[in-house]
Amino acid sequence: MVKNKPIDSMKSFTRRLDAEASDKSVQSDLSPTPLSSQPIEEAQTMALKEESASSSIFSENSMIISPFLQPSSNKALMWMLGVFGLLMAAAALIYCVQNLFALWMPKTSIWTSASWPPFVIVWALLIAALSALTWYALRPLVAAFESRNPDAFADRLNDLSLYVARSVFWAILLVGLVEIALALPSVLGDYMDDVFGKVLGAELIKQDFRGPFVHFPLIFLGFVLGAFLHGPHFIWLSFLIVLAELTSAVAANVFNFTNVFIGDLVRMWYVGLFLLSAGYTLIEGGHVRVDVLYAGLGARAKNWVNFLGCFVFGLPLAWVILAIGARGSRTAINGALASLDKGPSGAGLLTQYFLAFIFMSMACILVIQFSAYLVTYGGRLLGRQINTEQGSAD
Amino acid sequence: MDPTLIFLFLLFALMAGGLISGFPVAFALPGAAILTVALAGLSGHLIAGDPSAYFAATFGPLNSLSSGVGNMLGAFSGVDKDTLIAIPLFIFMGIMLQRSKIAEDLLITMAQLFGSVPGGLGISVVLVGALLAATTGIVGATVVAMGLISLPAMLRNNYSVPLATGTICASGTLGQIIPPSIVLIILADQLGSASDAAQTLRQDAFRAANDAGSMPTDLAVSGASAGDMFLGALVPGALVLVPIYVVYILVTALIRPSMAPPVPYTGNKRGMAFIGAVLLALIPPLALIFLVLGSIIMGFATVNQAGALGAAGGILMAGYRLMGGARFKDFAPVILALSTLLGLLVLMANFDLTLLANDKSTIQGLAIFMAAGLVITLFIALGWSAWRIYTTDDILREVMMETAKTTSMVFLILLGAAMLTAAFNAFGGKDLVEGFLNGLPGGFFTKFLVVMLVMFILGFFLDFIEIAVVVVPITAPILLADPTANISAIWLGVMIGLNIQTSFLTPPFGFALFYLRGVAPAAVKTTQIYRGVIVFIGLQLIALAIVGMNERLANFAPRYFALGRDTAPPPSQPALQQCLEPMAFTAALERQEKAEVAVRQLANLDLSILPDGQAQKVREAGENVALSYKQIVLMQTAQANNAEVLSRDIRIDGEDIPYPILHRDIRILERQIARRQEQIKILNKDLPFLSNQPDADNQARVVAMESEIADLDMQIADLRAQIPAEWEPALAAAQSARSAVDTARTGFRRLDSKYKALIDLLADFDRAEALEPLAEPMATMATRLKEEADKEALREELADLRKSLSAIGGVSKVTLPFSKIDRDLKKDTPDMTTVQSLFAEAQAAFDAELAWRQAGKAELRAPLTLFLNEVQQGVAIRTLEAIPRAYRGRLAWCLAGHRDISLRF
Repeated sequence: MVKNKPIDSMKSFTRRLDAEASDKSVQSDLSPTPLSSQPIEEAQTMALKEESASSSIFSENSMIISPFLQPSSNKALMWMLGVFGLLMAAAALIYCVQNLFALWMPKTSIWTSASWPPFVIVWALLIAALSALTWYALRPLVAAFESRNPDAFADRLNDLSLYVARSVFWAILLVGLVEIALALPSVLGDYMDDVFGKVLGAELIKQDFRGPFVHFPLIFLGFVLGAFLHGPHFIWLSFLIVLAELTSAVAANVFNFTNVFIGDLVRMWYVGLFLLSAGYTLIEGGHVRVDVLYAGLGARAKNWVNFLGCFVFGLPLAWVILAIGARGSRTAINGALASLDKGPSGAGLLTQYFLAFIFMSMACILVIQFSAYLVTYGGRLLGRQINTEQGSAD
Repeated sequence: MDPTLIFLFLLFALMAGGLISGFPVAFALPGAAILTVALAGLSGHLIAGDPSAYFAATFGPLNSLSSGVGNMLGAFSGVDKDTLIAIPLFIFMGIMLQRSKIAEDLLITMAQLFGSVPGGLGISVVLVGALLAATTGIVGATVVAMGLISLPAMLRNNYSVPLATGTICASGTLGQIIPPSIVLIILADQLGSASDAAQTLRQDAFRAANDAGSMPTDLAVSGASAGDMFLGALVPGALVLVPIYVVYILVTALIRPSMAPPVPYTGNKRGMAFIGAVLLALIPPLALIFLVLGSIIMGFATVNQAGALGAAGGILMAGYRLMGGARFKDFAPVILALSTLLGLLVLMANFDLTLLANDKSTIQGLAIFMAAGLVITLFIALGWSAWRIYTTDDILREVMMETAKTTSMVFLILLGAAMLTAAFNAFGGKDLVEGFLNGLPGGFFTKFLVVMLVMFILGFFLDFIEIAVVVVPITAPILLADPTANISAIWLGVMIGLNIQTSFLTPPFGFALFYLRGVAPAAVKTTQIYRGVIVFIGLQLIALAIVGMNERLANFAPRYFALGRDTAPPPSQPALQQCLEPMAFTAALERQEKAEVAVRQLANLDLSILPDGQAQKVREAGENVALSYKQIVLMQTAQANNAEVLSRDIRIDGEDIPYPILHRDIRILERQIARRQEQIKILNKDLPFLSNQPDADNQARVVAMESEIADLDMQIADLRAQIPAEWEPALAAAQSARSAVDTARTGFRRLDSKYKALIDLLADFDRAEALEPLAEPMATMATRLKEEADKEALREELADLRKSLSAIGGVSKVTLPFSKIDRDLKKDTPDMTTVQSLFAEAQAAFDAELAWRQAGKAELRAPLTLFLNEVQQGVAIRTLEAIPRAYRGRLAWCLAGHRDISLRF
């Protein structure tokens, strides 16, 4: 079974917590804890664990009961579920990519005006690279699908959504840093022409140039980096916004220097922080549940809740965001993307449309994530009929 | 029943079902909304042949969904939403501090410090809870730490179990109300949008009632920023709620010592070591609280920046605490950071470090360079600390992970609620709630109590975020718009905050209970935990009542500090007048004699050195004082008359009804009429289109709509009949009394211009300084005009001179001839004598202008300033640039009160 590093380490991490937590709860029931700070952390992690009642969908047990390994008539259902998940994920990805191409192709027509060969070459290269990336991302997915293990397959879907999330993270990280570098010369004085030359300096302040020649390549680079670096890197945004906001506080108070551009940077990064971790929070069980009833449900009922919830609430939400918000060129998301919205001030970073971009990416990530959820819980429900002793890790 | 209403209830049912099922709230809320919209659209299409048939007017399935997506995007993308950036920053700070174990240090030392007092352990838990609330603010972490450290200690010392568990749960939740708190930021964000909505509602009401174009700004709904909310919650949280808890424990311990016995101190001798430990535990969190809240209060930092400061402080603290915090080496990054900070403060105190200043001296440049070096060092210290945390058990990564997850959890609920609100509006929910709340008998406080009760009950099942983002946008605009109470958004936010704090304590879904259950020994029964918390919910309700009845507890601090900042409004700001005016009048009347003396002295001045126009200004200002006093008397008479008119009883059908009550009743009737007229208008808009459709279905609908219109017309006639004939004259009398006050007030304010002219004159004297250096160029120019032949060069020099003169301003007489000279010089053969005589004119004017300014500065400046100082303490207070210090407290106190403005609507 192909395993990816981040998920693997995370899994063992949760397992370790589980073990610690159960040890601790036994101990603290027996004797009052002495006045020392030693055991607290463990107990805290335990409490956190309880909060995320359904945190690990990668449970060891569910692999044992994988329906593919059992001779059963559920095979067909399971196969359909897998195909459904795969189709959903692929549809979301294709939808988003074609949407971006449809909106941003006209912007890149600068190339066509010069002469056609560069245009063809650039796009051929781009399409080749994208296909390679897609293949790189999809190959383990297909392999897992063929292995007919729903949990392995769900893991690969999770990897795919994590890939999209961290690629967008790398994109906004790079765009943020480059934009700061581009903004500084004009903020500190009128140095744009001195730094970049008259021709380039004049072009660089135009959004129609900056989009295709600065932002788009960086987004592309982000997706390349995302393919080769593994892990939920977007969590670093939480540290980065602390540093950026601190810089703004220091600049304002020490140097009497206030400018919108740090605000723009922080806005893009904090939006990235919570939107990109939305899917990851879902696998980690970090989204709060009303567990008046849920806590008391059996494992099977919980599986049903999560399975049906995906169908009724989760997937429709993600698809509505994509299909309604990213349709045509005047909707909430596409309007901002099509015009490469540079924000109300137009003075700071020209990155306002990245908020819409991240939002659309979140919807795409959620579709993939909910597909994985569906496969996981559907697999457990189907597996349950064979083996009633073991179920979800909850 | 209206089908739209059925779908509204379906929306509620699906939402409740989704939430209760246990699917993550962030997706259940918007999912239920989308499902309902889809079902409504589908049944509309199948049954009525029109997908938007079952939506409220102007809504349909597609546009309500796209406005939902728009709401979601709008929930974070506008600049006005930047308040929310503080949330991840404070979460980061809280989690970082939690990892640096300040909770444990504080609990242990404070327990030793207070143990021997009756109820001491309990009191120490409350105090540590308050300190942690102002730093970490994480309910779960605080309760767990207390449950592990304090609960066993309390149980060992025979504390009553319910008291011990109740104290821990309640103290843990203090983080929700004591700033910095995530709830308060979310509430500030929600109330910001709500007060905009309320402003629109109120404006409509004003327009309907007064036939006037726009509402005066002093009637505007007051909003609340996150900083305001923090300041507003400080007193109710730290100075009302915490003392209530402490007093309760103390009283219990004194009345029934067996429930909370004092604990004899058994540790090491209380010596220097103990004091050192107490200081080491107390000072860092206190310093951090001071840094974060202090910078917000003093206006040094926005709430977001304060969040970043707090997070950086957290990193520094964790940087030494995780290393053990015993050796000197452990403290190296902190010491480095603190010394760079000190260096920065010294530099800031001695130099102007403005980065983009136009004319920097060398020293200043050097200072900026040094400051930049120090800032870089500061970041290095921070990075050093962060590196330690990163390499110690991967804690930085865990902190970032927790921050990302918690932030995502909070924000996705926020986004989900944005979608839900769109669907709610699409099914006419807004109007329904508005109609219901406004239809309640008993005015504002019934509405308010109903809303608070709903929130309290929801608290049993939901978490604070859901309540804040679902209930607040729906109900807060209605409460804020109500003119009878004219509440401030700050007070409303604090009340809501105090209220939903109980959601952590109310079983079955009380987070605090849940956490404590997880760590409490098995000997503690769950029912004991529930029982213990009841008392504290009661105490919470008492605090709620106290703050509810004394709105100044919440409103005063934000108002007071706002008046003290650089950005404070000037005394002439309309919103301040309601409070400033009476104070200014009293002060003016008290000082009348002194003012008269000042006027006499002014009249005795020799003004012959000034040009006529300027002397006139001085004389007018002097005469103005008497006029101001006359106007004050006029206004007070008008106000007394107005009050008398409003307190009259109106005799209707042999019954005396006080005017204010009549006013409100009639306005309610009028609103009901207006609502029905609105409905008729909507129906009438659809009618012509439908009448043209010949098929039977549509004809039936036409008939139904026509009968509905007839019905509404009848209702309107009924309502109209309820308005007594006596109302019109009573209203006319009230309005004319009110407009008399307004006229007198306008008259009083118009007099400000004369004092302002005098202030301008004083400023004009100072131009002498700028003019003096130009005397020489003027003289040179005169000789140049006689000698120089190159007229182009002359023109250039003249233009330069003119430019420097206009830059000073106020000397148009001098510059006037310049254009004529220029025109002459442009000719092929300029008449140099004309030019010279024209310039002589200019020079004469220059000399005159300079002379009166110099003389005025020398002789008149002092007496005029004296006069101004006198009148600006009384009648001319509105012309001051900033509110005098002496007024600040009283003014803030007055502004912090709620006042009834319903009679203006």
